[in-house]
Amino acid sequence: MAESFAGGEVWSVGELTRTLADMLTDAFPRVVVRGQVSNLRRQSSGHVYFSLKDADAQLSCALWRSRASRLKFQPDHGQEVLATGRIEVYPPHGKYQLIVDALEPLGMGDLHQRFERLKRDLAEEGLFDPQRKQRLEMLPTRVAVVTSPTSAALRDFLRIAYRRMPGAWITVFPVRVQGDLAAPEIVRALAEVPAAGTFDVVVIGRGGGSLEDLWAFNEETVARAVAACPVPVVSAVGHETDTTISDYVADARAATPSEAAELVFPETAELEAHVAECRSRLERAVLRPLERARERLHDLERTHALRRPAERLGRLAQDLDEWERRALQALERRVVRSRDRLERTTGHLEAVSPLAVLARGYSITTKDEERATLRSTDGLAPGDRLRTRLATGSVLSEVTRVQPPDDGDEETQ
Amino acid sequence: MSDTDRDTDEPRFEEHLAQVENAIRRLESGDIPLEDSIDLYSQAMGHLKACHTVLDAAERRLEIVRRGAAGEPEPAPADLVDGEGLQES
Repeated sequence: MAESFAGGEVWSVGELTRTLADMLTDAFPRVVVRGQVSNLRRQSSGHVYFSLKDADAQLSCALWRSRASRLKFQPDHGQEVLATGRIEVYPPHGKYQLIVDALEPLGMGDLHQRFERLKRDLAEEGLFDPQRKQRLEMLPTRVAVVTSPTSAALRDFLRIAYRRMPGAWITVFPVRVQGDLAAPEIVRALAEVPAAGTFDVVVIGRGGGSLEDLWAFNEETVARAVAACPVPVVSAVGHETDTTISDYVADARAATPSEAAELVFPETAELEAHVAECRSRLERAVLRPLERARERLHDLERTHALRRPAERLGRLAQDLDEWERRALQALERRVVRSRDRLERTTGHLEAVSPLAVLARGYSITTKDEERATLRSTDGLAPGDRLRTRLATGSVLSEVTRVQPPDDGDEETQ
Repeated sequence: MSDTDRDTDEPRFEEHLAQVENAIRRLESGDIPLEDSIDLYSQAMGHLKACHTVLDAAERRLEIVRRGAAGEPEPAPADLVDGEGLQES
């Protein structure tokens, strides 16, 4: 123990240090210190050493590997943190230090860290993968909106929605979009949407604000509710520059609530115009072959060799009559908007003669001097003369062999 | 609300329109027999009619979900709209 000298004890350095160490440890078994991280050193052993400092002083800190690996964030130079731990003395250096048990970032630094960590974790989990994303309907029948019912964001959304699609059907699920209750309310609403009706899309969002204001949309619970929602989700949070976790998870992201309305609702006037255009293209497309046939018919009629009576066309004419009848029926079944157009169409069809079919590459074969078109080999024998009428001209030929259908067309003998 | 909801299995507007556009492409290509072209046209007209039905039937509706006594969500017609959108409240 200590020797006595001139009225006082003489301590060994070790003794004094140990005594101080015991006193300090007893006095500060658990302390929370706020300060800024500096002199950060990560050892290969996994232990982390740094100093906490403020304007007046600095404190050496040690974070052992076992604790460091459990930290939810990585401390960085200059960061304001709250460090929790106990004070110990390290005798070889004669210095006291804070043995850190827990470390938390402070303030905005904290939110940014949480944002980045959650973003990284969910990305690794695959929640942002493009192949997870559901496609939006071109023309939604029913749209759910999860937002604050009194917000300017909702007003903007509705104004643009009804301007683009006057017949939109929108159901608002009112929630808080700010504060501690916002996230649980959004999560609940997202669960309610699929049960409340058949929705084509659900829009979640709010207007712009600070990172803290938008925080509900960065909560993991909300991100998971968006990912789990069977109805496609459009996330529309804040202004152009704000990106939230829910934006990443959602099936589609809109920069603002107004843009969400543009994304979700088509311009129905444009769609109506497109549908009308489709109808007239269809009509032109189905009539064009008939018109082409008529033009070629005119050419045929001028050809001297084909000035033959139309009745020779026999059965063929009947076929074409049948097609005409069906074409007219088809045209009449359409959504008739214009009586004129239908009459014009009918006019086109009536102008088409059966002869037009020849122009399409069909030919008509008859036994010479008979009227009936040949449809089978029945009654044909070698030596019979056949007349084949083509689009231009006709051919007279003689049967050399008759091959009934049973023999098969491809067989050679 | 299920009584007013659509049948989820019926083709959507987009599918009808895609059928129409496909029919137009095939008809315009011109290599379809006359007989088939009329069938194709008839089918396409049916799809166009369905497109019109959807477009014409859509009726402006705005609902706000309120909670019943048991906390169940119930969409109800919103009274918070004027001609242009939500009123300030």
